[in-house]
Amino acid sequence: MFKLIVFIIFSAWAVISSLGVVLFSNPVYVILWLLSALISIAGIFFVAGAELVGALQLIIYAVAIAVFYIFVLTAVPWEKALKKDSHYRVEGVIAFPFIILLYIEMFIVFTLGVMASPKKQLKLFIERIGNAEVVGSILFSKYFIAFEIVSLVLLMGMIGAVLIGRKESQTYDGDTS
Amino acid sequence: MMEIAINLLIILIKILVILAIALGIGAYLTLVERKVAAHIQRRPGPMVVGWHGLLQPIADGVKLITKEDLFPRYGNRFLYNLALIMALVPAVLVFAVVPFGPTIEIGGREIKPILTDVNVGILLVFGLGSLAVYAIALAGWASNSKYALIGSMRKAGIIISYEVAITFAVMGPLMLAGTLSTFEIVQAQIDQKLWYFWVQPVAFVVYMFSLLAETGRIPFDIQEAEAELVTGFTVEYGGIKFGLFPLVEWYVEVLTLSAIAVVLFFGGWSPINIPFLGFVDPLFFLGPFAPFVWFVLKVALLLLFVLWLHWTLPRYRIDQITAIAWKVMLPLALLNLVITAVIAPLIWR
Amino acid sequence: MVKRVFQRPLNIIERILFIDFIKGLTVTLKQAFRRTITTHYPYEKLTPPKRFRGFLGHKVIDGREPQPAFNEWVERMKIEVRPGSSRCVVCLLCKRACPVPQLFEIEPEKLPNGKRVIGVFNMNLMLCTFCGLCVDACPVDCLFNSDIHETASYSRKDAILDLKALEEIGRDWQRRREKEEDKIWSDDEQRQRLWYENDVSIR
Ligand code: SF4
Ligand code: SF4
Repeated sequence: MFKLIVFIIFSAWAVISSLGVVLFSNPVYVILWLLSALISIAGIFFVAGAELVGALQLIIYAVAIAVFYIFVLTAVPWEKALKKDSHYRVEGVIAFPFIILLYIEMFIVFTLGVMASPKKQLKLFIERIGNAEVVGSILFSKYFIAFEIVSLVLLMGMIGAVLIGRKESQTYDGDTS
Repeated sequence: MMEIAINLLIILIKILVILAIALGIGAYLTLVERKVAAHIQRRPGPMVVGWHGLLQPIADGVKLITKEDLFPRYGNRFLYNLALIMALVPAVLVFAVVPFGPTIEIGGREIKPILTDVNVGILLVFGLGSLAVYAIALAGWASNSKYALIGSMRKAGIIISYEVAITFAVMGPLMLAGTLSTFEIVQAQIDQKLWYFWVQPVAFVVYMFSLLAETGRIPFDIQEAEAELVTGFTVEYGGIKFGLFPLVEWYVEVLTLSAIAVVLFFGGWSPINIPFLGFVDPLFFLGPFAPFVWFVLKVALLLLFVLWLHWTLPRYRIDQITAIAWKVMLPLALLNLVITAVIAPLIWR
Repeated sequence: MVKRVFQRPLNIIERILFIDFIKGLTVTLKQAFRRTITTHYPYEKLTPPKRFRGFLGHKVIDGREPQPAFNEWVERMKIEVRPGSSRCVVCLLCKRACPVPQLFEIEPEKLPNGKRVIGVFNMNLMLCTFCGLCVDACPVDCLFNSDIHETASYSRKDAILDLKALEEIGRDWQRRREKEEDKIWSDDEQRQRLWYENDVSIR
């Protein structure tokens, strides 16, 4: 009962802030709404008992990723922030069918997942050995290959970023001629 | 029904105590800092208001509150005020997962002196702690001033760099304890008869560097370098709003991060430790209060150490700061992590 | 030639153990437990050195005037000597030496016997830079800088010293510090001497 009320509060908050992300034109407000949406989703995770996922949501999305928008945010001059002509209207219309497709796919995956574990085995499992351990053991047993591939992709991304961000000393040297 | 009411009452009392600690002690830390700074420079510090300046924080507060509330003309008033709230709330919220002592019994009821013992406490600390970067960035942007903007950008850069290092640094102790809950980390240290400081000195050094960087203490206070940026992102704030930013950044955050450091590296409320042998408790005569006294004592010592560093060292440049973070601290933390991951299971599993 | 001083780079052990941090920390720790060296300003004040350039004043005639300059100037300017009042001979040299001459307002007063005394001598210290040029210019050692340095006041009017105030400052100075040796702070004992309250009330 109590849980339900908190869940409704958080999800309403999430929906409202997502609407805010879409409807506001000032980029700074958009980033703030995004932050608010991410935090409310973390709240939903906490209500559902997935504390690890909630905390990771807070750390990775609300801080580590959204913080990079901060640099955008601090570089936005006031006059630009008030303009409204920077919206990708046509692109938005084109993207709409794909979004619907994505939602349908998510729905299918979700229902499949629910059907796969009908007897709440997972829940018992979590209650027995706690949150972080469950995630760890699942990651390193059932989804091991996927996990390793993802980490390899991330490593490649990191090396690529370092390579791109490397200072090309030659370019500046030959500049004087 | 009665049960729920009593539980709610206990939670309410805990919240009040934590708020009082966070803000009251935070305010009085200004006096401590001024005294420490003064004595290091061979001055007596505030001496006039009250005995040895004991009422000085109250006088400061009254002065700040009664000051005129100025606002930059082309700023954004909503964000300007929102930044203040976003700075204050996460900093105080972090106290929710700081354990102050062992479980105590009052009237046949077991009470943990911690607001919420979530089993991902440490992750929450760093999640909430780094939310402060939004407050700073907003403050810099909303006040529409060059100094504030430059200060907030520097601060954002520092926090991003050191957030990574601090997260990897705390992984060492977490791995030794095998849990993410702050309460159980301390319990694990007591059970293993080992402060993790003895086996994780590298992690501790990285943690201290990140603590100084995240709270904007010297040698990492480049975001408010007075000589070049006036006071960084707080330039356009006035009155009590100006007072709250340093209060949060310099005192409440240092307090929380020191408390977390004590939990992670110095065994929380446990007495002095001899590695692998046991604990020596010179304060045994305090009976059930001894753990709390130990905790407060350790946090206070760590805090004084931070102040001592602040008033000794010069300031690094911004590029040096980020270079230290990425080129020294992060590899060190990773190395420590790998070594711990190899050795820890050999000893305790 | 510029002498370049290169700092020895830290070696690896010093880097790992933070030796330079520890050195600095020991210094500050030692200083932190030593006696404080400040004075509690509004309650304790240090005596300024004798050559301190504070509020200006007029020394009064008490038999210690520089001779024979004083007698010569008295004769030349036809001044009536009144012991106990200002030494000023109304030569206006101070006004000529001053970078801000309009801050002086000097007028002699003609006596029935044909002689003169100083009548009006107002100094607007709002404009004064306390450079002391007027003091050097004064031929009879009349104008001087006293050690009164708390010059804040509630209205601009209070910053204008008239002849009475100037003489008052001068009498007070001659009583307290005239005989003192004329040297700047040279030893700790002299530096730490506290300043007792001067008993002039200018306002
Ligand atoms: S001290 Fe300098 S500025 Fe002041 S009255 Fe004398 S000459 Fe003029
Ligand atoms: S120089 Fe000396 S004597 Fe001449 S008018 Fe000025 S104060 Fe008087």
